[in-house]
Amino acid sequence: MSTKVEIGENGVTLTREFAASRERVFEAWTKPELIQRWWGCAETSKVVSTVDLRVGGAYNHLMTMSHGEYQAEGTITELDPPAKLAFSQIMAPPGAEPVTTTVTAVFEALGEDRCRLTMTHEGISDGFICDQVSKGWGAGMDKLGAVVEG
Amino acid sequence: MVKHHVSIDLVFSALADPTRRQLMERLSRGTSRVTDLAEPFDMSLAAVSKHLRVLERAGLIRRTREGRVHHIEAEPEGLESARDWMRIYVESWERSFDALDRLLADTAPDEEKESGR
Repeated sequence: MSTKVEIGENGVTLTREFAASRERVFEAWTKPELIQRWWGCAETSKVVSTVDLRVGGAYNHLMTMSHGEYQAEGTITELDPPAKLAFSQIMAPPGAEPVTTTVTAVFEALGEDRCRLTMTHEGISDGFICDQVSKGWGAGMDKLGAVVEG
Repeated sequence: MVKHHVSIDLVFSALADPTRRQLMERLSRGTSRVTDLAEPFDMSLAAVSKHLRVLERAGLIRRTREGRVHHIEAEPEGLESARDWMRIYVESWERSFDALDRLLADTAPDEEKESGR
């Protein structure tokens, strides 16, 4: 199943369908023991998550990556199970200003065992990119780093 | 190597507009004068100039002046960092979604056993 990508004024929107009820997909986004099994990228070997599941509650995903440990954290801003989840995502590059982005996830039921996830990521700035670069996410980072890092 | 310190947000919002995307497409074919660029659009020169300023702020085009004539050309590196970043960002999420897919398949409710939840 492939991910549809749209770039808009608000940021990036990714859309993907899953062969599961939206209740289950929503759960996978909010229960630490489930989040830990999919959150992160190829360079992440382990994730330890804590989630205070309420509006205003904090969450934290501590990821062990090939380059060391990395934390994605923030606060839950919207919680409407199983339809919608929104949270801030703070990234703190070493020696630079923390960058706050916002993630909004909408879960749509497409029948009993099918869900469409629409995820919008806003507030993406070059600080955010530099942070990802410094953590070694993805391939081809050297080139990107040379272009982006002032 | 041209260094860019432009917020990706600026690049994205610059490209979110269809007129600006068309302008970029024209500029990919070569440098143009502002008046020539504006010609096919059904809007005032001032409106097109406004769009060009947005593209300029996003580091996607650059302007040179030859007397009173303004030439516009696409910044060769302008889109590169945005494209690179997009690819990496999307790949990263794609892998996470693949893992989520597998998790959902692995933990699918089995009617033959007690779920215990």
